[in-house]
Amino acid sequence: MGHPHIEKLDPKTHTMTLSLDIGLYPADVLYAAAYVFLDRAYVLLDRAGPRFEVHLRGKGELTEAQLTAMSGEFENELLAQALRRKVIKANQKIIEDITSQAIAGAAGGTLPTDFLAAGDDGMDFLDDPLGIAVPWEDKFKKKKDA
Amino acid sequence: MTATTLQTKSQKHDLLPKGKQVDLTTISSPGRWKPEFAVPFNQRQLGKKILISNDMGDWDLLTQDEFRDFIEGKPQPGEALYEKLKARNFIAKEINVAAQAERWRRKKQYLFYGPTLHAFVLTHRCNHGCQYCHSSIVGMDRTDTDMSIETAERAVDLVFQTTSPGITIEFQGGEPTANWEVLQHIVEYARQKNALANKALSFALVTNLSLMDDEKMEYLLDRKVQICTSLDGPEDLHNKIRIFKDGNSHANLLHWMKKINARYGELGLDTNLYRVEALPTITKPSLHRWKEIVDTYVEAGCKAVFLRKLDPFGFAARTAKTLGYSMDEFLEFYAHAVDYIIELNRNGTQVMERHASIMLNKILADQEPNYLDLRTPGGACIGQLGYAPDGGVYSSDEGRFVAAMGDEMFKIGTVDDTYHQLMTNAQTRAMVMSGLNDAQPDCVSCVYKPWCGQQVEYNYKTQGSLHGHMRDSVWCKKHKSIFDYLMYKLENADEKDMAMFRRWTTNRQLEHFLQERAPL
Repeated sequence: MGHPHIEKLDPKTHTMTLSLDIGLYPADVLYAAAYVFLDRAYVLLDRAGPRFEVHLRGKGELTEAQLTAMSGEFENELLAQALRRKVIKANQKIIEDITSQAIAGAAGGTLPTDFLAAGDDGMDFLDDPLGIAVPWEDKFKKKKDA
Repeated sequence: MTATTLQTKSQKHDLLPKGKQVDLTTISSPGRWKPEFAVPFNQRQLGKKILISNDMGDWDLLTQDEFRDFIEGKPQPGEALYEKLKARNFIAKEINVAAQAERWRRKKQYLFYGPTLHAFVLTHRCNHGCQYCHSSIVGMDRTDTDMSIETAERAVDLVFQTTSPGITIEFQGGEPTANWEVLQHIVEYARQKNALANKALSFALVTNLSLMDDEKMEYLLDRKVQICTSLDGPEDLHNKIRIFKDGNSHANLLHWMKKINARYGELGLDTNLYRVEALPTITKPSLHRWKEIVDTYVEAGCKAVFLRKLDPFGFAARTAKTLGYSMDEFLEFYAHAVDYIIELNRNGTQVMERHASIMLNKILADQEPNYLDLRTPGGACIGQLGYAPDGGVYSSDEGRFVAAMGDEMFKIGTVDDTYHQLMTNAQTRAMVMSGLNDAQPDCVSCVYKPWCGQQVEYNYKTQGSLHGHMRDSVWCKKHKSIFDYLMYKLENADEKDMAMFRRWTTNRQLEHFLQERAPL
């Protein structure tokens, strides 16, 4: 997936700017990775043409070695979040099926599957084969000729 | 070699090892990943192993090679790794959705009913001046801060509207026995109401035992009120923190604990199960006295110690400079203490630590003990409610502590409101949504997500918002570190240690404390 590039690194101000191709990682992966650094650095995300920029400023002093290590950690975090996103995209439905079945069951039972499977039998909502909607006056009125 | 020498010789990183992000850059490249092979999972590097967990609460510790094969979808049916991952529900195509739905429902039962725990503050009066007290206590002459019988009845009426099949009414204060008449009235009134409601009703009393006498004790035993108290450790430590000008708090406490425990025995109850529950609060002077604190509990006959960190509420917030400490200091204390508890168990003394017990219950026994601070959504409002003497209803006991500091953020109504209003108002909804692990940016990708939880009051008090931000939350740091500690223990446990950890997951059966139906 390519590496984030260190654009700027300044131990005096404990700052570093990384850039990465916007085609490599979706924005939500970038956000998730950036969040992980919030305890150690102030993070600003930006975009410069075809690249995302990640500006990091340490909340405490950071040496050059620490900043460089942080760059590596950022790359690793991007990978971890990307993997997580891919797995979720592929199989999140399994988790949704489990929770929706669990909740539906707890709500007091579900309709029989054969009922649901019957689906559309060609009727629309105005059809009334049992005459339920027919007023009693009409259904049981005496025939005038009787 | 004794536990003490073992611990003093331990390196700090050995005492409390920390997990970290898996270094994926050295393990596999994205082109090799096979995401359709796995159910959604999270991972964490623990020493040489990689811990993986899924939303159902399954977990495993994999070698780096096993993890690589897993994310690259290489294991084949019949191979050991495949069968292991299949058994632990990590392979997408092998998931039995119906069985997992049933399992999810069992563990998330608390989602399908309302609050179970109802904390009644019977008075703000107290005869102790504990330096860390959460409540806004007043002198013993301030009877104007007592809950009235009328308010108590309205509160009990509200309690019985909960959709929960179980109700625990917990008496708190101040010192709740200072308002003894109302305590008795609540017990009798709730028992009468339960004749019709037929809920699993129980009572608990949180008391410093300083106002206990034989008559009160016999009433509490007769009405099956569970008794809980605070014991901070050895006498000098306890009395230094829990200041009692009318006597020796520690000596009085142990006297009544012993006497009540003896009465449980005389009543034919199993004294391994039925005992006065005691809890310590860890303060700065406690930090180096982990061994003495544990020993005090063992000598008092306690089977469990709940090593509770100082809260950011009440006096504790004001006395933080003298009593407070960093989370790192607490965690070091915790690891020393639990290492010692483990050593005691190896030598035949059965005692456990409550955090560990709750977490192991989830990890090893696949149970959800419904501990309100470690569940998702958290227990605020929908797991517990707090009732102030003036009839104010709060999200929890902690919500009431915040109110005691002059901030009514967690007051969701009064006993004059309907249950429906309290459960559905905007504050309640906000607290429930904030207390979801799945709504926390960090928690969603945490390997401990299936077993962890939120306390919105703690987030608010320490970080200024209900959501907080877990990355620099001490709440998160505490629980993640204890989970790390326990996972390392599990990884390195021999058969004897595993038997001990499994024993810690055994839930106490306390049917005796359930009320029988009172006559109409």
